Amino acid sequence: MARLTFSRTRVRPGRGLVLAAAAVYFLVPLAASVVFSVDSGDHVTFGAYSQILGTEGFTDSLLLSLELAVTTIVLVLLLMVPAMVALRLGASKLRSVVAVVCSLPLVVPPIAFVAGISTVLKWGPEYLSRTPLFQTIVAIQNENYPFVLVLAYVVMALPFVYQALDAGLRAVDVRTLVEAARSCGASWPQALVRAVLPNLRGALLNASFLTLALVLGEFTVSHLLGYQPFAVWIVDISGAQAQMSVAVSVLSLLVTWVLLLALAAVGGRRTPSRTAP
Amino acid sequence: MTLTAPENEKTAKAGAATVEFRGLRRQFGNSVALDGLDLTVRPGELLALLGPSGCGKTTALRMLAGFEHPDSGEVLVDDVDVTDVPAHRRDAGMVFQSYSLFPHLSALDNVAFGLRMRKVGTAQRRARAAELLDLVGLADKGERFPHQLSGGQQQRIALARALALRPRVLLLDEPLSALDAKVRTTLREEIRRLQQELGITTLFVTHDQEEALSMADRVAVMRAGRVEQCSSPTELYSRPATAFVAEFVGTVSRIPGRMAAAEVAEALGSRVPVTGGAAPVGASVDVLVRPEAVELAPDPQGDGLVTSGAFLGATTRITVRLPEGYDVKADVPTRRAADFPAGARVAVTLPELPVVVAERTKG
Repeated sequence: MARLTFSRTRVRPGRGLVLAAAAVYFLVPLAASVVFSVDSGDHVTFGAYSQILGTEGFTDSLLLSLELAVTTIVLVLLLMVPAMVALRLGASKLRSVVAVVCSLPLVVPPIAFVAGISTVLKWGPEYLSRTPLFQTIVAIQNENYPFVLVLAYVVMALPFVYQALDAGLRAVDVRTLVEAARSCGASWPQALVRAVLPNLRGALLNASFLTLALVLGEFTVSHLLGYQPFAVWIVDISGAQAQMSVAVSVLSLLVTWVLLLALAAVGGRRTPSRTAP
Repeated sequence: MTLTAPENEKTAKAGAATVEFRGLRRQFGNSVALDGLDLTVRPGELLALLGPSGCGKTTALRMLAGFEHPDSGEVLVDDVDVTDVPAHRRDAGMVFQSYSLFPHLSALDNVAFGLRMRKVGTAQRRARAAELLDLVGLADKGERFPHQLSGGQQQRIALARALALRPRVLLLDEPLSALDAKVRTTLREEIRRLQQELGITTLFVTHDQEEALSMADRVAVMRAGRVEQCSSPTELYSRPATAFVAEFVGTVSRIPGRMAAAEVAEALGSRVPVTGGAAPVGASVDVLVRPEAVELAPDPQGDGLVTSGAFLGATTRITVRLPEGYDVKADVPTRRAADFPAGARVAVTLPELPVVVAERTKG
């Protein structure tokens, strides 16, 4: 999936052709964007890029998106990893149920999803204003840190996280690993953390990648709920300054790539063995 | 490669544990895995649980390990009921059938895993793990990861890992079944030697009778969740208690016979003592005989007709069809095999060796 590996095998003609076609498909629009963003009639200028940093909202929206992404990743993994491991160890009859539930967000259009969320949020002032729940509903809509978006993103990330974890769990014999750890004197939580999770590193990384990419690019829900994370900010300024909006898009691509590579570098590193000299 | 246990390992011998299963019963859905299992493993012995798949042998082992809980009955170690003790406090080392090493840890770290869980200090942990790697003859492979080791090496590491915490009981769940024949033979000899040197009470699950007979002090043959017979390999082979044991362990042929008196059967004109199975006097029975206990002689007037021969090395196993439709297998020295070509008529006789009788299966 998002793990980047470059094999050294020789490129054969047939594959080369496909690769070239794919490259054209991806790179031409990208190159066109870059050209447009630096072209000012007769000479090359990076004015659009230098403007970005000074534009109001850039740092705020980017930071907001990153905070949301981190919380979403933590939350969705805390939710899904124990559930998926439990499905592997027992309750295999529930596996198909969970698979269907986790795929639902793909089927429900974001626009319908956000309509549902707004309805629920409106219960606050309408019915719950005299209960403690009202405070909760107000709190999750905090302008500076809209936790309601995290809740929405967790749901939207479920299909991707499910697939990534499922693929990872398929590759390891969870039951034997847990039992081996247990017979070595590990309690249940220890067996999970010390024996199972390290072998799911790739899957956890993939799940995090996909969630990060999803959160950074998400527009519909955050826009309709009236918040301004990165993707919304890009669209908001694009109406006014065409060249800068394209520059921002290019920059956001770069930011995403850098983040993914950083995540890969951090997570892909082998943990130093602890007993070996 | 020879595996020897250092002196400090042998201290375990004195305190070897007794394991006792009492009336264990376990049901999975509609299938009964254990149906009142009673079995005692003596201190320091290697007891093999042998039986066809689905006889409950693995379930019994997993109950001792703490991975399964009995519906009723109890598991005792040194007369202490451990039925409700969770797996990680059972003090039982286990080697699994499939490769169960932790893929993300080196061989040394795998062996040290249990010590880590017990919060043993780094230096002590490393020393103990190195000692164990040495014990299984892989002292130089400590830095390798499981995927860099062969199947046999992985199982040795798994054995070292199981022994790391000086468990009171060693559990082996078909540890050799995924290995190829040659590795299997050497490894089983080494496991046996190690087990004897450490004097650790060991329970070994296998479906391979050769493995069980060659390694174990005693073999418990299981069938449908119960122990059919539990005795030394020699006794199991030469004096099987039931027809099931006789047919499961080694090769037997059925010969039509009759109970001539109490504990005496008559077949092929011989009267032979009966040690297993029972039938009323006068009843028609099948007499179960080993191929080495059947004698053949070339005889143009004989009842038997040679149908085939299989070369086994020193002996050749001749299959003879009796007039009643029974096929009898008899081992003859290979140098005499030429006397019994397919289609030849032979006389079949039984020496006066003890046999097992079973209910007649054919008309």
